Amino acid sequence: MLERIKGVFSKKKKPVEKKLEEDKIPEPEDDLNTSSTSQTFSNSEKRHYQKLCLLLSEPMIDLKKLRSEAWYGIPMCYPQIRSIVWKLLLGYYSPNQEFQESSISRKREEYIDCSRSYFPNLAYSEDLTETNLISEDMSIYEVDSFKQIIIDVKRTHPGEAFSSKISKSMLTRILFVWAFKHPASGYVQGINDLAATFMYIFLAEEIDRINRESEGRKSVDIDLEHNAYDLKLEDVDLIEEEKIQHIEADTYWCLENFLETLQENYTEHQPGVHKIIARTEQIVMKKDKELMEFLEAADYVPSKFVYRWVNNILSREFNVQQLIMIWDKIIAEEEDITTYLPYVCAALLLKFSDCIKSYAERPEEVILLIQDLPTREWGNEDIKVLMAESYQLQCLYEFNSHLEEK
Amino acid sequence: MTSRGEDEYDYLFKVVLIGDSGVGKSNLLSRFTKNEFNLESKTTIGVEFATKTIECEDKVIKAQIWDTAGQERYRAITSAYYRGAVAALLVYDITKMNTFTNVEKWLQELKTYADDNIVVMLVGNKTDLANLRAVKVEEAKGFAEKNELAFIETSALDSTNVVEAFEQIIQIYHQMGSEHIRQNDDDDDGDDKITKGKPVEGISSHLRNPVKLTQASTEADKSKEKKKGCC
Repeated sequence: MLERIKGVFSKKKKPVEKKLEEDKIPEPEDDLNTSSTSQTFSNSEKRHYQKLCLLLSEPMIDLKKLRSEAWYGIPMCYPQIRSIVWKLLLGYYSPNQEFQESSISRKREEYIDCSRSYFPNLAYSEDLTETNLISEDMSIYEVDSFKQIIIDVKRTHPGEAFSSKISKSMLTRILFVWAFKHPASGYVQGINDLAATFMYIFLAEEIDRINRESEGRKSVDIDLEHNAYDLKLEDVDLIEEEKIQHIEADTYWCLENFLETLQENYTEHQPGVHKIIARTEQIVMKKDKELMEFLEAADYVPSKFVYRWVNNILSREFNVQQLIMIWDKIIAEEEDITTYLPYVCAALLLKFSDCIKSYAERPEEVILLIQDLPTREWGNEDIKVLMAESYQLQCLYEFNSHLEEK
Repeated sequence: MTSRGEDEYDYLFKVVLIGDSGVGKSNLLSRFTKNEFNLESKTTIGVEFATKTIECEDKVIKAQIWDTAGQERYRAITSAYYRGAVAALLVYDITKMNTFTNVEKWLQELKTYADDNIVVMLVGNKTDLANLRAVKVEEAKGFAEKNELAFIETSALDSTNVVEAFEQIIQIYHQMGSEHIRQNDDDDDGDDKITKGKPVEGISSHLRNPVKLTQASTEADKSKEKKKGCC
């Protein structure tokens, strides 16, 4: 156990370069047509956005720099940037622009071929029922996966756009292909929410592109007030079928790469989830012993209630737009997600420390609070503060692990 | 939340909701505790919790209800919640035969992980989808009788029998005057209804009169307007 605790806190020291990098950002060229409504777009945000564009325009994209820059977050008004950054940082897009296009089309074809072997005739507009999806030559594993996926896709809706038959059809294929390729875990509830988040990002990107085109806006026009992630049901119908196929393939590969380090979260007994929860508890114990002891005394240890946080990478605790901001950091993080996620979970739990402790005589209230966090009332600033606090914890207990040793 | 201001009670009962994925466990719970039905309800990950206080024979009973994930992968975490539960609602979907067939598996789960004297009620949910019915009432009732389970059919969507299901199971347990009731106040009212000292064999073998209980389902439609809050 001690070894494991040591392992958590004695990872390689990470240079605190993020703060320094900001000072090194060169003065931006004035190529942004910021509209009058975007006064709130601060200079640092403008610089940061331009730096991202600059990095992405290099023939050989410097992933280390991109990671460091993306860590600050990506403006919600420009989904193209986020889409590309995520694809690059998840290792789906090649940083070498010369080969990028060919490697993307190869990957997309690979996915579409695989998907077609299961769904030879299914059109995007068809209803997904067991009768039109399950055939006699399928194995029990395939049939069971299908049944579960069909039930869950119906109730996966990070936003209105997911009510469309097209979205549901895409999600079904993605989850089924993933389940088929990962028999060690198979499809596990929660993965639907993760896939939907990626799909949301890429649908928003395409819908935003269509809207810009129809409104004659240039891609560099920036209006911070504009939120490109407020998708409507009918928006999805605007996307042409070829693009839908691309979005589906892109979602698949991002999900695949994202879950690479998370395989253990979904195998039998979900050891990965338990490890992340154990780390979360260690961090909370170090930062706020009283809270942890309070929870333990009440027999409401976090392991019972932050399960969903970890299993679903926080996708249930926040709305999709808040989640995107959190995932920006998770994806840009140098450490893999299993190392970083405990700090976010710990920071989130610590946020409610006083509130939890005030329920001394009513332990049930603790569960009710944790399973339904009042995050709906949170604004963007609250998310930024949460992520800053996670980073603070990480600096305190991971990068400075030498201070821990007695 | 439902528990606020409801801290006064005579008994505290732990109830679990189990059954296959997508049969409507979470909506049964939200219908009972908040009178809400969510068409867009999401998959339950692990377990979720709610409470509701009801009156039963002049006693205030607080039900702590644990809603569990239906998918097999979560069985390890959900089964840990069976311990200490005095009652279980085992839910299936009347429009999906396989969710009924799997009831056997769920009973086995209870046998392995739950307390021996847990009271089990078989709940056929989604009666609002009568035209898609795949599991006959008689078949389910017969199964319930054979396995000594209470039985009821419900619709979380149109509220049919939801309150009744929870209240009946709590009533059954309450009437047994079980030693598992946390706060013993020497209330012997229910004791004459059970056979004391009889060894418990298997699940719910203490349910003396399952036939009587099954009548609830046949009166399902008539009892829609049945008054709430008391069993």
